[in-house]
Amino acid sequence: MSAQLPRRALAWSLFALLLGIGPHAARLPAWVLLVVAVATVWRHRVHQGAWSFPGRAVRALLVLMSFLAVGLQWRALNGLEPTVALLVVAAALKALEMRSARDFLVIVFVAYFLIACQLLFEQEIPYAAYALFATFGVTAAMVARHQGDPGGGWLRPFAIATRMLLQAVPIMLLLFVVFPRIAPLWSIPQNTGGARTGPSETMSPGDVARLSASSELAFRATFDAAVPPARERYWRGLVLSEFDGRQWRQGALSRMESELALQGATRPALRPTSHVPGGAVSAYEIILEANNQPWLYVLGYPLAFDEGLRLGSDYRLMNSRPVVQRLRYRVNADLAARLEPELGALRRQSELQLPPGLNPRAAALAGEWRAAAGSDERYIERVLRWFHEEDFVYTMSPPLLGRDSVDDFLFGARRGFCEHYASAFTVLLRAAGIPARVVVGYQGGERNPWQGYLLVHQFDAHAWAEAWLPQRGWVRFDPTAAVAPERIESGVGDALGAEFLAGSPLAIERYRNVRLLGWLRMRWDTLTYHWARAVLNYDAERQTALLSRLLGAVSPARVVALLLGCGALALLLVAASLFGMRPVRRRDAATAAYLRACARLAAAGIERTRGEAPLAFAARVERERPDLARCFSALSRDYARLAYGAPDAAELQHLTRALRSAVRRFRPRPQVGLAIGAGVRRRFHTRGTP
Amino acid sequence: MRQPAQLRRLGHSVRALREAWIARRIPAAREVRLDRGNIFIFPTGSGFAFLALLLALLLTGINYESNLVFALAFLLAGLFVVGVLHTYANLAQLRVTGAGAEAVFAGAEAGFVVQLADAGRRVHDGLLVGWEGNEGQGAHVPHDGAQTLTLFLRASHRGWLRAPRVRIASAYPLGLLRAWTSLDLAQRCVVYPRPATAGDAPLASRGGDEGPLTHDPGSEDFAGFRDYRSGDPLRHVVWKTLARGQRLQTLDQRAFADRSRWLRWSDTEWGTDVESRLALLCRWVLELQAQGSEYGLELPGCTLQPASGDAQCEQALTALALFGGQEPPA
Repeated sequence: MSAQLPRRALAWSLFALLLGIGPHAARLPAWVLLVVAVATVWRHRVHQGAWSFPGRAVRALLVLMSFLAVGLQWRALNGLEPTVALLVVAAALKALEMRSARDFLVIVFVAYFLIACQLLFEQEIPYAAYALFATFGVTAAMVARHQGDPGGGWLRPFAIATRMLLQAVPIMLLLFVVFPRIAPLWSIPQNTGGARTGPSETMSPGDVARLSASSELAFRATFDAAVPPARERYWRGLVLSEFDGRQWRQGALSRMESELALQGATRPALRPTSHVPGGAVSAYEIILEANNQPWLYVLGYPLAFDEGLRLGSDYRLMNSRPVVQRLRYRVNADLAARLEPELGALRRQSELQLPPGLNPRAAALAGEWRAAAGSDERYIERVLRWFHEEDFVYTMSPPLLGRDSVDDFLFGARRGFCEHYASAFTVLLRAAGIPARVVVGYQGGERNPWQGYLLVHQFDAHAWAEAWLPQRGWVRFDPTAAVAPERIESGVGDALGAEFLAGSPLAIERYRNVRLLGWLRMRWDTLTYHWARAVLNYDAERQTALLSRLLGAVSPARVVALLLGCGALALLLVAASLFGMRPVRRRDAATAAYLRACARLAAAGIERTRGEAPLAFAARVERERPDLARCFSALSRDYARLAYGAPDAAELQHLTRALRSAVRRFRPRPQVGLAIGAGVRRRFHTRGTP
Repeated sequence: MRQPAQLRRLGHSVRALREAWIARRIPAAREVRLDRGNIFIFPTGSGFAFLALLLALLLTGINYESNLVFALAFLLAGLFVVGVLHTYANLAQLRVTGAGAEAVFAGAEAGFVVQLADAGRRVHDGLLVGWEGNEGQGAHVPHDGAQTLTLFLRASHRGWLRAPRVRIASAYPLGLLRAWTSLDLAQRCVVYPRPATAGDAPLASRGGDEGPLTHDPGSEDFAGFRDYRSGDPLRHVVWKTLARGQRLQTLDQRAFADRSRWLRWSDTEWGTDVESRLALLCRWVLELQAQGSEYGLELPGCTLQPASGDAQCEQALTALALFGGQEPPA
């Protein structure tokens, strides 16, 4: 282990290290990169003989300072990011003092581990492809280090590493499919540093508009059966019941439920509120991108959903912890269920809450209209018609609103985004004594034409309202639809026109009307979708499904049999490529016949040495076994003429036939006496005479 | 830290068992083709470290529930498994031939020539060839090619020097696994006695050891005397000069006309042991060979008729080397 390193191993180890660090560079603080650069340059100068290795004191100081710096930077050493930083710094310092084979090994292993860490941060196809490439490079470094022959250039280690890794792929696939997906063994510091995306727990004017400036993906949804039409696709996320005049937030009960869910309570605090089945059951699967928020998005009333998820009393679905990596969940939902047909007094009171003394004009208008309308339904209809008929504008850049934000909006600016309309609408309903609340989530989604799944982006974020009506329960109303129907029918892009994604000119979604780009984008997304479903979200459930499809029934014995069977097959193929089972050089009939004769001679005691020319061998046979000479010499002459001469077609045919029949009759025996040889000779003679 | 004696004994017996097992498994042969029967393979220290890395990756994959980390861990696991075949293949189908060694004098190093040739149409890279238990030297056999190495071994005693097992190992291509074999190539070489540092060959004689001298050592003009050196035969001491009270002198045989001489066992000093007598004879043979003289050798049970030349020298030295019951060269 303490063996000296070949000189070229240094370059390879630095290459491996840089491959490992590569994608982390953007995440690492500048000083870490500086340490790497200094160490690399220093070691290179040592390699050239210009500088000398750092002394023990310098090394100790460097290590101490690096650890301190990491500790100060993150205030912890056990998170994912400080771990990566520590590994990078440690490997760079190791490279600096690298002398022995052990140092080389440490660097290579750290490089492998850094690749793995990168996969914890980024899981998209390009990153995975990079990780694969980096694995090839690091493996090539290992091969180069153990190569005794420096010839063959730097490509040879790459070629060998690539070949070996490709041969390892079947084993990887097999293990990937079969290895049991068990729950985490211990709790680990989650990578919570990620930005929270999507709607937040509160909603103020401008919040949803800000979301709409992002073309990031929020989630993908796959329906087992028909995809509901766009105007029905209201993905509920949060229900906001408390209003302070400016900001909407969750009601006290919902907040408590969220807390309990995050604390890991196994049972809901309250029984999910009742519903009346509507009969429009739809099953779908959602792959939610990491958003660092604990709530999930669902369509309709969730009848059944994955274990570990929780249903709140306002019919929202919650995860037991913030979604820090892409989460897949399945929901069976009733899209037509009537929610909470009976509203309790306490609840009714909280859904009627309004900040006292604010928005007097809205309150007055509501009182007047409600009295004139005669029923809640007709009142709501009138409000929506008002939104539709008056000069309300749907825009991403509304003016600022004052203290009475709803009054300012309804009777002043009249320019707003969906949160303005939802908020104003809900206030108008509450002021008229109708329980109402704001719902935040996503609306719509884009269909992938090849796979039929829906892509929901951040710009699909939306806010709408729910009003409680007797017998009907909570009914969805979308005032935005009254103002800008195209927002609901064909998406925010069409509704906003030039305003859409104005801040990000490079977002490919902006140009979704360019046919080729759209095609490319959807093709790429299809790939990403399959990647997410089949690879990233391959979990215990999918494993069981796949294995039972492959094996009939999942039992340990069958799984082991699959593992051993396929593993042995994979290794057999590798062995075949390694050991001689190369395609046999095709020989023509004449050569095959001649070699048969030689094999018989070998059995009789005269072996043709490798590379011995047929005529030279015939001469030797003549010397050693005069009894065989005659027929073998004739046969050899024929063969030599066939193999090295230039016989014409007729001669070729004739000679080949003669050779083959001569070989058929050529049965030399081990030398016992001349009698046998004579016998052979006689047989040849008799054949020769007509 | 001192090992307890019992532990050491256990270690010895384990090693002996292992050696016996290998001897049974890979019998001696001049030429060996490496294959399943004689290649062993085992992870190196790096290999075990790599397995630990795999475990760490696996735990990371489990705890972060990351399928891509799983994939990386499994890819590297596959690499390790495939590496077994590649490491084996790097050694397999290598033809190892022991070409023996030239005879040497005791105390010198015998150079055993080992040829490695490719018999499987592939490159054999990163080979380490050496005596069992010693550091090896690097070797590389190209596709369809061969490499010849000389392994040196100190010859301490005259007689046959049997070469120990040759160890051929390779951790190529990954360094995680080491394939090795331990071959007895049935190599041996003759070790001549170490020539004595002093003692002149006997004078030329015609048959008996008491033949007359050609010169009168008494005459004053006779220059064939020199001071006595230890190891000179007593027979050549010039007693007359001693009687005159001069220093002890012996006849210098170089002063005599050279004809065929006999180097006899009986001419060597009595009282010294067998080895020093052989050493003396060895010195004489070399001396006469250097002069180009004709000489014969007479040992108990073995007589070489007088002759000259390299063949005579080799025969004589071999006879000396194998004196005392060692079988003649095959």
